[in-house]
Amino acid sequence: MAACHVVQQTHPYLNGHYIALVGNPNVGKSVLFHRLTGQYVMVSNYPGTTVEVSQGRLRKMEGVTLIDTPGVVSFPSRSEDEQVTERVLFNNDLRTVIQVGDAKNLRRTLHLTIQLAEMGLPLVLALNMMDEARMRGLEIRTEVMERAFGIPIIQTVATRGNGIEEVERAIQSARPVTLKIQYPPDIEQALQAIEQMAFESPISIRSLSLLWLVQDPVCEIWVEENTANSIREKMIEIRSGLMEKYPEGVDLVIQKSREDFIAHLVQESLQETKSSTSSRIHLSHLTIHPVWGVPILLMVLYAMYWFVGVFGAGTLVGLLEERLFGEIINPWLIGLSEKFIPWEMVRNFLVGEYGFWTMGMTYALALLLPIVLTFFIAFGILEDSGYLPRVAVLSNRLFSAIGLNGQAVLPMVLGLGCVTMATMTTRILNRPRDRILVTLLLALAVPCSAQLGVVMGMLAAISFSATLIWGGVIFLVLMLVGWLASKVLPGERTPLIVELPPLRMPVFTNVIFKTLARLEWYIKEAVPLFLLGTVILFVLDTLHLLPALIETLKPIVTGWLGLPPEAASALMMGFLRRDFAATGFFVMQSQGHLSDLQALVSITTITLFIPCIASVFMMIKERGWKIGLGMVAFILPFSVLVGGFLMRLLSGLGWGS
Amino acid sequence: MFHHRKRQRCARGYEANDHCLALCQVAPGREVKIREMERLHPPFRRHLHAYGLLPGRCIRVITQQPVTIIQVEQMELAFEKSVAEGILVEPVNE
Repeated sequence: MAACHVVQQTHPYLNGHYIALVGNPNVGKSVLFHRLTGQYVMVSNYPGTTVEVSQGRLRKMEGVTLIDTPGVVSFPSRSEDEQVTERVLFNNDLRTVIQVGDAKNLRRTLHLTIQLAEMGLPLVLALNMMDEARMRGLEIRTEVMERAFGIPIIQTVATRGNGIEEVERAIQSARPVTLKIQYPPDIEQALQAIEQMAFESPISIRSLSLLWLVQDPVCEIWVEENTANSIREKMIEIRSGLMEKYPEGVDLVIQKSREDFIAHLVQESLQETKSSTSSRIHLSHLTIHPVWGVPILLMVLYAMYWFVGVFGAGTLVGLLEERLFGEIINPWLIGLSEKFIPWEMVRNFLVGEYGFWTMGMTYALALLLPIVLTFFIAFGILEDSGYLPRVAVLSNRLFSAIGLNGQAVLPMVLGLGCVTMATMTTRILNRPRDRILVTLLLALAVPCSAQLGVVMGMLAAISFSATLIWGGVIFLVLMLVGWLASKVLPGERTPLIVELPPLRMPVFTNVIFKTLARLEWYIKEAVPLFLLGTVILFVLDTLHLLPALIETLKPIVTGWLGLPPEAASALMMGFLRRDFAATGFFVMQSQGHLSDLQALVSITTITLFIPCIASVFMMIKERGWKIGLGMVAFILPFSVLVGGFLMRLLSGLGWGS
Repeated sequence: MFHHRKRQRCARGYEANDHCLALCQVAPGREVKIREMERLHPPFRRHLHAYGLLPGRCIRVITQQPVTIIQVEQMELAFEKSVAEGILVEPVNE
């Protein structure tokens, strides 16, 4: 059967009229988005992905929704982010595309403009950050480019609201564009051959074919799902022919043609009035300086520690947990339930020792929420300021020792906030090997904010040398296990390639929207798991299974780790969340049941323990049953093993006595 | 070629001479033109192409430590020495 058809996929974005905002990363897309939409903004994950996409009603066009897509470097898409943007473009209900471009980087902007203009959708280019371009001595005339592309080009400064009205006018009257760049003859022949197959396509067949020739993953899937086998086979044949002809890569040949087209345009449109490069030492260069970069990083980390550890975990938790929940809400609820609930079991379930409210909700809302909230704010500020890629550069050498590159620092730092969430963000790493490595190290040796708070409190009560020993052991384990795992896992290390966006003041709305979206995720995904954990504890306790389980742990706890027998029940909690266990140890320490040595051994062991049930679920979800459970099976005995060795080593040295 | 020995140590696979050298050999602050990048592993090469590092483009080296950082247009890109070794450039008359 030669006929082919387009299958209409059920898609949430197909319901109305949509305009997509597309552009390179760090071009001020989000700022323009908020200028164009106003109040009602919805941030949600794009269906089937973890990528956040904002949507909002346009202020000046009734019933039209603006979609703020993730930043793309270029097509073919290489990351999940870019694939989401491409999927939005493949959606046939787009009314217009607004490209936001960085005026400072005209060539880079125009490479994307070509790809968008070839798609045949109505297109408007907002050339943003004109102020920064002028500051660097760049004068841009848009007429030549407007004529070449056949699209309106508007110069904007989104942060100040300049040019917004012109953009709004331009999108009302935007018409489909048909840019046709001349590629080398064999590529033109291939394009024509595919065009002659005449199937329906959401974007122009020419641009679809170009994406096909460079093996774009989204295009690949679309063709597989929407064209007949006979067509697809012919298309594969055409592509293979070209790939043989151009061993250096069809993509490079196509890009060269585009580069030539752009070179001519830039020459006509761009004027550099003064030398655009200066040798001034910027702060942005100090942050990656081999000498100055490290103290700056330490200052940033200290500021973060102060905000999350001291203010969030100390002040806010104190106010919420001790005052609000401990002194007001919980006593009141306990009183109420004693008055109105005659069944002891139900009372226990709600407000008992392992109560749904007194443990589960109190824990989730009063203890974890302030820590997680302050962490997300701090992380959002770092993210929006452009500092994080610099941390990747600084830490690259360290990570290269364990077979990774500096990019792994992002999930690792996020892991200090919440390991479960960090496990999910390992998706930003391009290769499965890197994802497995980081997932393992996160689960083993990165303590989350909830646990860190307790651990820091315990260490402070012992001595500074205890803090050094704890930190040293964790670091050593991290490096050693990482190094070993990177040797065992097949595949080579990926070198670091990262864009360094200019350092800038974080934009308040960007940070708030990101924080809110993450907080929503935390409440939806993580809180139910805490509650589930509490229910499991309650059931075990009610059926008197807990004592039996604790009994079986005792030989390990007393014999191997050298802890008092009561520590077994604290360790038991660690199976649900390691910070539950840490809290248990904390209580024992403050009651004088643990010696300094025992306290240090217990917190080292529990830091290396599996993070929490939620993180195990996430590991299984992201890495599969085999790898996920394999990691758990390694981490549990390994953490206890390290703890026992540490105890023997330290008592042999006479530490703490 | 004797006096270029120091340079050659860094250039993997490229014959270094006065007209042509690997990016990792370029001193900070200098502007160079990309000549070819075909020795790079294709995924890394494509990654760099996407950022506009294409043969014919002029780029400025900002630093070589702790990694190579270059400026292309007004954008800065950082990558490891192993990547910079695979990019062949020629000096631009300044």
